[in-house]
Amino acid sequence: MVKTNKQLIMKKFVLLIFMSFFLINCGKDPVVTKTELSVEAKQIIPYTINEIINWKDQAGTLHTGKVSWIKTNRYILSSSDEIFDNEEIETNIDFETFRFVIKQRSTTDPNKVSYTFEYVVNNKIETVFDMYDMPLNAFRNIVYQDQNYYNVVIARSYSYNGDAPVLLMFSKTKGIEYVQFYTSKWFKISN
Amino acid sequence: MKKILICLIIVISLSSCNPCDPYEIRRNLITETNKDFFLEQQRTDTYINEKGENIKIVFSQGKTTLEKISDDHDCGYYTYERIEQEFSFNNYLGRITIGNGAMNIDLSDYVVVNNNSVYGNQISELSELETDVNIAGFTFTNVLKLDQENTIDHAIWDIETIIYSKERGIEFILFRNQTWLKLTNN
Repeated sequence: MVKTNKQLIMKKFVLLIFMSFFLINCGKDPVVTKTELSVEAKQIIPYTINEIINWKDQAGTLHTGKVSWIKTNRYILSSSDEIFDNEEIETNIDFETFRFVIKQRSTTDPNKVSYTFEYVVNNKIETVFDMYDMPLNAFRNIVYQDQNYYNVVIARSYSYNGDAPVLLMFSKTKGIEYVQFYTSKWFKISN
Repeated sequence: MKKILICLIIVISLSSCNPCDPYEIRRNLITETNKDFFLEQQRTDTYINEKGENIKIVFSQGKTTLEKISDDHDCGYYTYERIEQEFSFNNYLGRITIGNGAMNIDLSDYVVVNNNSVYGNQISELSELETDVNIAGFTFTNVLKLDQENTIDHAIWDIETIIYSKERGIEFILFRNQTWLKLTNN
């Protein structure tokens, strides 16, 4: 079949559009910024592998969990002109019916870290708490519901799901110390 | 090939098709008398605490913007004027917002979330909310008293009251544990 002039022009036109897209998106190489967690930041991971964790809930029931893994990953954030290659330490605590995953990530400022806490039920992430660019000296003492908590930061989730955690207290020395749900349900570390 | 191009043109036309022309339903601007409470310049103010120590609060350049909010059921939109200024000290990050007859100061660190505000029913001028306040042994005249609003369940806050004046901005911060910060005359 012989192509007409019109068809050939049309083909060139479509080719030109594709090439334009290709050229626009293939400009300069993105700048890569690689960051690592500082020694001080790594000390704020108070868990050890296979450690047994005991929490009690509002009904007095004991929940026993285990630190099943602590692993180091690279956490890559990229845009068209910049790539952030950050170090991430991921800690997993398995309980019988749920688990918590704690991710600590380096930032461009060695005196700051970012945290993600995930509440996972049936392998589905139910709630995510994020804390970005938190100064390492942000941990402090507070009184909450007439109880003293020492050296903590607090992550919040603004979920209004009936059975979702809304507040998570993370201690510099004890790890997750308290989790308050939207309802009256809570978990608290039990020594 | 021609069909592909026609299809492309139809898809682009349909996706950019606007069923009606947007129009402004109402414009809510902040009055000049309320704007007088806005100290928009970038600055660092020195405060003294109950121990006699100096604390610096850094205020960024304030911003005045117009925000369009669409009506859900129509092509109309509301235009709101928004005035805000961010500030920081220690690990706290704060934001002052001013409306007609209302002022709000959010102040949080990685532990607490504070939301202090002042407003009055049917009041559109901040000057009508000015009052004299005696607090922690200090007296302030013609100031706004912003009380803590974040007292819902599970809220964790640590600032009871903020005193704000038209001339000098944040004059005084009273924390829940009765410690405080007071603007110096420097």
